[in-house]
Amino acid sequence: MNRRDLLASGAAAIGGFALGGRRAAALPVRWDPEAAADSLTARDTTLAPEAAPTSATTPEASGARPAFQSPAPNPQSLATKWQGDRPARVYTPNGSSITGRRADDGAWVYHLTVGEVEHTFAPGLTATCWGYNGEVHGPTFEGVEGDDVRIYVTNNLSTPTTVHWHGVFLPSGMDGVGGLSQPVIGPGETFLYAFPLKQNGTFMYHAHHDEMTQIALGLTGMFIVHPKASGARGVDRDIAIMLHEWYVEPGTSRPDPNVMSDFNLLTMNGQAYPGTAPLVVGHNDRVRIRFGNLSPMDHHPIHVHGHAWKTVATDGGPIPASAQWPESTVLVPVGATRTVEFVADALGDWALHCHMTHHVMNQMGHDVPNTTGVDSRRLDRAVQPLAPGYATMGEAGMDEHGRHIEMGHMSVPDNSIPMVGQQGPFGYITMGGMYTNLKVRPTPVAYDADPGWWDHPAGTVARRVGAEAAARDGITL
Amino acid sequence: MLLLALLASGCAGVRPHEAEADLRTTLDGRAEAPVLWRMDADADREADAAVERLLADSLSADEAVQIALLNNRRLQATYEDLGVAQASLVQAGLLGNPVFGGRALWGLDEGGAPDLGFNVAFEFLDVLWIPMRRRVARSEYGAARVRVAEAVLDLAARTRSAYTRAQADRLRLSFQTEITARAEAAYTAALLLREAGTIPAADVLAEQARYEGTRLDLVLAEQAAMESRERLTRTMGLSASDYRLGGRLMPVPDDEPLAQPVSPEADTPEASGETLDVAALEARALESSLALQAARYDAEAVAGRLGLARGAAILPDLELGGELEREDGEWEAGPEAEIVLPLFDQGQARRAALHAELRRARADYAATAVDVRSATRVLASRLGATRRVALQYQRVLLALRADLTAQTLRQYNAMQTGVFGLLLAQEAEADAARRYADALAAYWDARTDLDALLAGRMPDLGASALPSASGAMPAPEAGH
Repeated sequence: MNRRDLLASGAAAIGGFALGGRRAAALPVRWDPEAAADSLTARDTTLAPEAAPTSATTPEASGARPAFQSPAPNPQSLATKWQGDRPARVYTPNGSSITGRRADDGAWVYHLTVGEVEHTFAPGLTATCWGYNGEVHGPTFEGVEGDDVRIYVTNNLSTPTTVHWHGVFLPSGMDGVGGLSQPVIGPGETFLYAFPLKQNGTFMYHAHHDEMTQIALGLTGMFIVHPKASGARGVDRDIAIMLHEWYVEPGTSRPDPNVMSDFNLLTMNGQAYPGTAPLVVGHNDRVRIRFGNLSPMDHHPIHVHGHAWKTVATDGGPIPASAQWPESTVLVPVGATRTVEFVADALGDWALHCHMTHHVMNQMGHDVPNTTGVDSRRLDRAVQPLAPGYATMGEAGMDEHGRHIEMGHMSVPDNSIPMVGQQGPFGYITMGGMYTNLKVRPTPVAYDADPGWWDHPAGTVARRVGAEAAARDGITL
Repeated sequence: MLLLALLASGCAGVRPHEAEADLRTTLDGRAEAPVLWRMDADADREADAAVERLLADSLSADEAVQIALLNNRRLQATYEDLGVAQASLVQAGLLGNPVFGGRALWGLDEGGAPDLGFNVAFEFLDVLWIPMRRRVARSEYGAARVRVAEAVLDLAARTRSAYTRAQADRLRLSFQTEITARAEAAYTAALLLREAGTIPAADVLAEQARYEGTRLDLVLAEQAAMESRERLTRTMGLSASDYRLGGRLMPVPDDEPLAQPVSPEADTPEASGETLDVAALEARALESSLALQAARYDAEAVAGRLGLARGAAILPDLELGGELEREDGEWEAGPEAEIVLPLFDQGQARRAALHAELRRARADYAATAVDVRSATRVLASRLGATRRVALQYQRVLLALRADLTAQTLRQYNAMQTGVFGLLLAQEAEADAARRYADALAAYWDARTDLDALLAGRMPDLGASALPSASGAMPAPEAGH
């Protein structure tokens, strides 16, 4: 897909996939969440139509896949105040936030609609999920400590639901546990949740009725309460990332909520790499990342390359400085948030990902024979004449495989992204799933644009050597 | 009177070519190929040359039928029944030969000239019986003629079926070869994985067991192909199977009406079409049934013999003649007659036996009619059912299996299934193709049988069997 096609498709107009272009219009001064919600509900989440394949090597139309583009970060100027002295908003990569509207009595009013969403996990994979305000996951909820909030929840599903405000201190009847704290919100009904925000920190919201199904289908979101203190942020980049895991069988288009352990889509804010927007930060920026984990079954050890961070808060509140450990990996348990902070003092492109190896794959199957170490040439000789297009799995490695799939040389089930990664500056990046790139660049940084790949200074990249070079250090090859 | 008798029988010679012409007339519009009765060296040469021509390049079903009609010696043997019947017909028109006697008597005492006596005698009433006997013989000849004609149609139909089966078994063999190749590939893959240490021994043994099983199936498929080819060779009367089977097993034609509606549950929209008028078919089959005609001729012959027996009871044997004698030097002459007096045997037993035969012939006729009607209904329905099944393969199942294999390859590429799953999908596709070959053979057999029935041949309903839905074929029946 070239840029012209993209623009023609109208996808650029929603700001979802702008290719390196800054958003033309800044947010209006009087931000209307209702209008924003409406426009989001109407948002077309489907992929832009594919350009006709021009390559003569494309074997079949179904095999051709859209070219992978690194999505631009969701353009959000963090300098934008909500209204008056409200603090700057959090950046939700691949997502958005809702900040409420001031009512006449001074309370802050929000509206959440619950319904089906055609959600794209990565280019080439779209499924019917459940989300809030037409998004998966729901928009990041932002309020300020001391606010009185009134949250209207309209259920457009054909099944009842409730909303639980995870970690938030509130009256027992506002806690959103179906049957325990309230009757369920029936299809077509609207319920009102009203409570004061007495804490600040990183919390979550999610369905609390038939959770196994409703959370598996995506009904979760981040719930952030900013401290009262006059918008003091203490950081240059404030990022919210919701972790999740799903099972979407290749060739299907709905997550399977019955799966208990064999998840094949691992996401950050509903995106599997290469769908995740890179985290662009300036050199020596103070960076805060708020991780939430509402995966059905797995904790995620999130690892950052080239840096160390400290966990400064959980969904239970801030951690005293004396108790904070330096770590390069933070374990985010299921049903918890972890807020980490660090100074981005190392220029370059750094992987930031879950360290569970199966959590950085896309839709790989696990019920296949183990072909490690098998003489693939002999295997191919036996099978290839019978199955044209057959190649032993893993023979050429995952990178080869993913590239073949991307280029349409290898057909895979419709609507699937097995083993797909991304072409990087030095070759194929064999990562998928819960993976993103932290891009640290000299300031000033255009936060809203993907800066491309890091241009390494001479002599700072690992390279192949010959026997002569090794011999200088006494290594005999 | 004598003159009349001489006229009636005078020039009666046996002309087998007339019988051949009669047979051709009977087969006109029924048989699909010309018949040739190998009566002499010329006919032999002609037939051999024609067979050689037909065998020159690959063989079509029509050509196989032609060869069988020219060359199957069992059929040629059947033709001789017609020769025999025709000779009997000539025989029936011949007068009994006159008996001529003479004597000479010498006196033993005196010697001298002998007394001489001459007589000629002949069965006088033969002259009256000849037309009746000829009628009986004509009926018998007619019965023989239509029975031989049915044998021709039967051989043609069996040849066509044998050809179809030989083609189908050749196809089955090629698909079985594919299945075995895939099982072998799976076994090889298992060995390689075992070599790399990634699967347990049990998995290799399971793949090997499956592979060995498909090899046995291959042995049996080869044998089945060999035997069905031999059956075709036999029906064509060839001494070797070194001909080339040409052509493909033709798919089901689009524009053929179905026999009768099936239940909504079994209905396949792919096989929709107008329905056959089975009642009209029944009428046609009855009209052209050669077995029915033969039964009618049988009854007529018995009735004729019964007429003869009745006549004989009224007019017993009468021998007329003349005698010429010379006694004492004087010639004397005079007529002589001998008559059998029906005092004891008035033919009542013979008549009773013929009455019984007549009743038997009538019962046979009725039973044959019942069989023809039922056979029409069965074959019309079988044609519809086999057409439905073959079309379902042709238009739905084969494409379905191919799609499934293609999707399985995609799943393999997506690591949702392994090499074993891929090979299994391909095996299932080859297996469906193998069943399609059987379904087509069953359809063409039904078609051949129904065509032959409408041409006058009574099929052997037990012989042609349907393939089971699982694709297993019944054991081939012994050759006729």
